[in-house]
Amino acid sequence: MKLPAVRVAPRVGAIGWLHRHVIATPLDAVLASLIVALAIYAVPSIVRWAIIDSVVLAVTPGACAASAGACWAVIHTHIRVILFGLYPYAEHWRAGIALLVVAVALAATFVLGVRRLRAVISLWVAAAIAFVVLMAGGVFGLRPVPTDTWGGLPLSIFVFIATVLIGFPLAIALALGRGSQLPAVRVVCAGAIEIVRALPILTILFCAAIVLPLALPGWLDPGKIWRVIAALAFFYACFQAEIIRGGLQGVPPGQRLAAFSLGMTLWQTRLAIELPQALRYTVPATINQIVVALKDTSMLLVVGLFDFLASANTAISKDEWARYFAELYLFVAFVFLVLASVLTAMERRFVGSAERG
Amino acid sequence: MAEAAAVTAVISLAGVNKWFADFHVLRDIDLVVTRGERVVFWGPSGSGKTTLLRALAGIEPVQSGTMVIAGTMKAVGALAAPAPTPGVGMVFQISALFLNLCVLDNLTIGLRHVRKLSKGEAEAVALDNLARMQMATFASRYPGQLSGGQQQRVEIARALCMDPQIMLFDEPTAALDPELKHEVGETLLRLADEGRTIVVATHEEALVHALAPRMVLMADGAIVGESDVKRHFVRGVVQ
Repeated sequence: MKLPAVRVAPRVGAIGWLHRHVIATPLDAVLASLIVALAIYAVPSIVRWAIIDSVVLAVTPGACAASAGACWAVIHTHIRVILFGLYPYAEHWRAGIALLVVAVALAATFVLGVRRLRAVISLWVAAAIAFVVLMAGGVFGLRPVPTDTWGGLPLSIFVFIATVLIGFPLAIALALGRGSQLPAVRVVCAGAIEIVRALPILTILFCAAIVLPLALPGWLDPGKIWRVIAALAFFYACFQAEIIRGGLQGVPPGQRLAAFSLGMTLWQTRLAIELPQALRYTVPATINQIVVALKDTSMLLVVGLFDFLASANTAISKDEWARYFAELYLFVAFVFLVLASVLTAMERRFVGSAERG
Repeated sequence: MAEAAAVTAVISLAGVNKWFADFHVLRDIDLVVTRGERVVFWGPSGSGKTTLLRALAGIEPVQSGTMVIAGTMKAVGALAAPAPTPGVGMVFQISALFLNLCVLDNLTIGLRHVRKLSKGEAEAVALDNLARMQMATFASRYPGQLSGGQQQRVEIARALCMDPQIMLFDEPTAALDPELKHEVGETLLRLADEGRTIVVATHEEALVHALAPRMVLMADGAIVGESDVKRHFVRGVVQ
């Protein structure tokens, strides 16, 4: 095979960089020109709207109406309703601390890393308990706040964390069950996974929120938020189970034979040897699925729960700020972007420490 | 003669057969190995050496015949699940150290799960066996951080932790440099000197010379004869 001739003379400095990275081939040059043209057309008007003409410090919509720019003032004037939704106004400090607890747990997870899995899991269980105590109250002299008035970012984050904390062990059980030697267990697990994966998430949420209470006796009903969490957790678990199953299939067969040769049982081998390896192989796909679970929390609106996006919507929908929804949605998008970026950063941290092993 | 063999036999197989689907991988294997013997399964690739070793370790079920290994009567049947043989340790051709565990934990996991030792006891036994294989300083490393020869020494140490009277080796020199191959021969002799029965599947001539074992010649899944180093190589008999 003929190798392509090297045509570009070695150049240094900005011109050289341009040759190597921007116009290395004719196609690159065309694409670069298009991008530059688009930027010249769009960037100035975006900058003018978002920064130069924007209104940040106003407290009334009148100041915004006088300007052609973005009305960022809509955010700080409504921030407590955007963040906490229907949660009782006087108790917002509790919701704030609850968010802080999650932030601290995230930071600690980052420091501990995947090697100290047991510490990380206990940390999150403790954080979840602290979160529920703060939000629900009823103990330590905190005023009880029923779950149907929870809202905003704490609700989204609570549903998200509960979904993953409940869904992940369930996913492990489903994945192991699908590989079981007992046909009945195998069929039930495979059937559950295939059926749930085939259903739209909206159907499952509606069933949990509206149909299930008709079927359940009153004393067995844990409340709408828990029914919805159970539905989301099961939905998440079915996708996560397939990821873990793939990881289990990737474990070299010699690992199982070696464990058997030492006299370990099938279950000891699965739990102590194969599963830990499978979980490590699947960190990137798992983080991917977790990000999907985070974004799925904005579906809560359709069953009447005021998640972060719905709270932001409600905050301005009935007052004179209503026309500044774009700024508000950008803010919500920004918060989701930050959360997803934290999860991605965690993936990089975890995959890094997994590869060292 | 039969009585004398029964007293000291640690492996006795009679009429053992195994199929992988239609493929007859072990054919009417009869074999008696006595305590402290050094045995080599000698034969070309695909002759059934590895499968026979795995059957002895109890991790590969066979479909017919009788097997008594280290005093245990093995269950035989088409559907028999793998049932490890107590008192038998195996070192694999391709390193099978547990990738998610450090060297020390690779050794302690069997001690804790199978021999039910406490963490402290298990670590003491593990460090002792690592030291015997000159690997004690590597206790906190992970398998991926070790060379092929180091991995194999850890694997031997792991098998020794369970204090087996029979040690099985599948192509122990296959993945090693010439220098290390020499070392493996010495290690195996040392284990034999401790009174352990050593069974090795190999087609490495140098290793056979070092061990000077009883040679069991295999071809197409059957034992086709026996020999020893002198007869086999000096006369140039090729089976």
